[in-house]
Order: sequence, then structure tokens, then C-alpha cells
Amino acid sequence: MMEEYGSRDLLRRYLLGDLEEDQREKIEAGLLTDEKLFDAIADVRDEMIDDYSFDILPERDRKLFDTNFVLNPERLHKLRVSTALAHYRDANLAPVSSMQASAPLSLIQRIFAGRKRWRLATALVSSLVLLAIGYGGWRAYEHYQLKQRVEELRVKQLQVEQYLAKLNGQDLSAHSDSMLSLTLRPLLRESKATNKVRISARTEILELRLEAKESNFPVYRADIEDSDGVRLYSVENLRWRQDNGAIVVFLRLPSQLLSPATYQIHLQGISAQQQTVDIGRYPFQIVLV
Amino acid sequence: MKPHPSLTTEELDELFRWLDADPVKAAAKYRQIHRGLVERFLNRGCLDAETLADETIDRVARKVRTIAPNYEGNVKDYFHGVAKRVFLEYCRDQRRQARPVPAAPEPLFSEVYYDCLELCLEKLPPEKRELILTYYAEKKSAKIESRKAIRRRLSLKADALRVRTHRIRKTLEDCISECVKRNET
Repeated sequence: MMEEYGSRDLLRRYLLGDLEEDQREKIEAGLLTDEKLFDAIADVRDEMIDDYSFDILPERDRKLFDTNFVLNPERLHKLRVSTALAHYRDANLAPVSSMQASAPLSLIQRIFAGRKRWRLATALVSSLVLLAIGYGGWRAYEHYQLKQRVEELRVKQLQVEQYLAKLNGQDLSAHSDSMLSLTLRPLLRESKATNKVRISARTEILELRLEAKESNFPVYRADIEDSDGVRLYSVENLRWRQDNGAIVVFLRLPSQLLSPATYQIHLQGISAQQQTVDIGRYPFQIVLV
Repeated sequence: MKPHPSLTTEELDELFRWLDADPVKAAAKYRQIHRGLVERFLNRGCLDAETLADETIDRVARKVRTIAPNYEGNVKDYFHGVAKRVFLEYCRDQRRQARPVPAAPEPLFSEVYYDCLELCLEKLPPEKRELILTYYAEKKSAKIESRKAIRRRLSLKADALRVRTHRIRKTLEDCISECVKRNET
């Protein structure tokens, strides 16, 4: 039943308002009763929204989208999710290249044209196949090495996070001489101030006192992020305390973990139902003295 | 467009009976028609598509008693015809009203959405997270070769890839929606 309404491209034309009136009428009549058509249009719509966000719509379609595609709250939500995904992809993901396609079809057709060229064609194709196998093997090994490296980094990250969890659960009063304490307040939108943290060779532990407005959460989680917002490490199960009249979450970090750069702590409250709530972001800059 | 009073229970019952003798099937058809009308009006450029869909159904419901006994043909065609009239009246009303100053376009990138996306990605089971991230990592071009590459890597057929990513995407959207609401309260 779907086929009578046309291809996916036709449905995309419909959504962009780029169809003749009689074609639009036909699709719209079908929308009232044909579940498969409705689902197909929803699918094409979502794909088109993604293409728009990932900037792969042809220019003409992009203009039609901007002019004709009405953004009700549901569509706006999808577009924002899609935009966030596009940004996430650009910030975090590198495409894993696929194997290159084999030789162009027209060249293959020419090689196999005519019986007299059969032996040459066979030899050429065999060479191509061997080359492709060799190339494929090399790319597979490269991919394997990349995966190994990613796995090593992941294991290292886990080890550091385990160490941080242990550090933040210990009583460190005996190390107060080598500990540097600093109070941080959450970043306000209009503020561009960043606290400078001066670390000397004697400083072994940096203790950040993160002021929070709310103490409604049994535990907190702190993500240590670089200046681009990329998460480096996470510390879970942090608890709040009263400190000079303020609600404070203590976070301890070994000084050797932080090279001179700008960081921020992204603090979140974790409810008893495991829901997370943003508390704030606390930027700071490490300076060696 | 002048507002209509809401339908009476009798009018709604008659409408459902006209759609189908089985009340459960009638309700399903009613929902299908309503969402089809909303989609139609949205794709015709009407932001208040829900209102126009309700208006269409209201008008049909008020006519059911007189037209149902002698009506021949598909019920959907009647709804379709009424929807066309409703749309034309809407356009006429829009033309008569002074054009409002267009609002500044809503920003599409939102930090809250981005943060919620990260949280929701972490909540996905690892294999689903990998699939959706692989799909979007490769989404550099609309060329067919890119999609073939993903399917080869994941050993999926074209439709299967689309259906799976669509489901995961729906889960992400719902999760992000809840997360955004929590952040806004």
C-alpha cells in the first residue's frame, strides 16, 4: 500500500512543500487512514531533520526547509536533539573509514569487453583482488591497533577514577601540609572570571571546595572537564558538608593529574532514584609556581 | 475563524459509530485521522495544526447525523474534504489579519540539550550506544556509499539499520526531553 504514494524522495518533496497540488492531496488523503504511510513520512521527516542538522541537505532543500518546514514543539525538539548530536559528533567522534569501493564499474566493463581481452582482464582483476585483500588486511590491522589504543586509554581512565574515588573517601588530615584548599563558586552566565590555582612543587593534593546552593542530594558526582568541555575523569559518591555556613562538596585531586591549563568541574546531584540534576560548573586554571 | 462550542457526548458517540461499529476500532481510527490531520496541516505551513485538526473533526461530527445514513464512499474522503475547506478558511483569515512581526528564530543549539544528550548516551546499553554513535560518526554525506559502509560494518540490511537507529533515537529523544524538563524546573 505504501508503494502507491511513491518513494522516500517523493515523501521528502512533500514535507518540503515541493510537490504539485494533486500529489500533495493524494498523500494527505492517505495520511488519514494509512498507518504505514504515516510512519514512513515520520521516518523521512526525522531523516531530513538529521540531514539538515548535519548540514548535508542540498542547498535548494535547505532553503525549502527554512521556508516551508513548520517547527511545532515536537519538531523543534527533534531538531535540537539532532543539532546536539551533530555537535557531539564533531567534538567526540571520528568516522571509522570504510574499505574503499572497488574499481569503477565502467572500467570493469571495458576490461571484460570482447573475448580477445579475456586473459588480460583476468590477470588485471586478479591483481586488483590481491591488492584489495592486502589493503583490506592492512586497514583491518590499523583498525585493530586503534581499538587497542582506545581500550588502553579507557583502562587507564578507569584506574585513575578508581584512585580518585579512594582519595576522596580517605581521611587526609595527616596530609594537610601538602594540601592546597580552594573554594569555588558556580559559574554565573554573565561572569567570565576563572579562578587561578597556584600550585607549587610541595602541593600534592588540591582540595576544591565546591559551593552548592542545594543539599537535597544524598550524593554528588563531579566530572573534571577540559576547557572544551570534554570529560576527562569522574568522581562519584561525593557528599556535602556545612563549611562556614555554606553547603560545600569537597573534591580532592592529586596535583600531578593537572597540568597547567584551564579546567572546569561539572557538579551534579544524584537523587535516590538515580536521577541527575545539574548543580553548576566551576572553572579554574592551574598555574605552576 | 470563529470558535465552535465543544462537541456533545451524543455527537462524539455518533462520530465513533460512523467510523466503526466496534468502539475500540473506532477509537483507533479517530486517533489515526486526528494525527493525520495534524501532520497535514503542519505540512501546509500551519503552526496551529492541532486547533485546525480539532476544528475539522468538530465540523464532521456535527454533520454525521445528517450525512451518515446516505453517505457512500470512504469516510476518510469526507474528512479530507472538510480539512481542505478548513485550510482555505485559515489562509483567508491569515491574509485578513495584520501580519505579526516575525519572532527571532529560536536558537537550535542548546547547551542544556547537549549536556542531556551526553547523560542519555551514557544511559544507553553499550551495543545501542555504539550503533547510534557509529551511525552518526559516519553521517558525513548523503551518499549511498556511507550508509553501505555502516551496514557492512554492522552486518545489517538497509531497512534494519534504519529501524534500529530510529528506535534508539526515539529512546534518546524521550530521555533528553525528561532531562531538559528537569533542568528547566
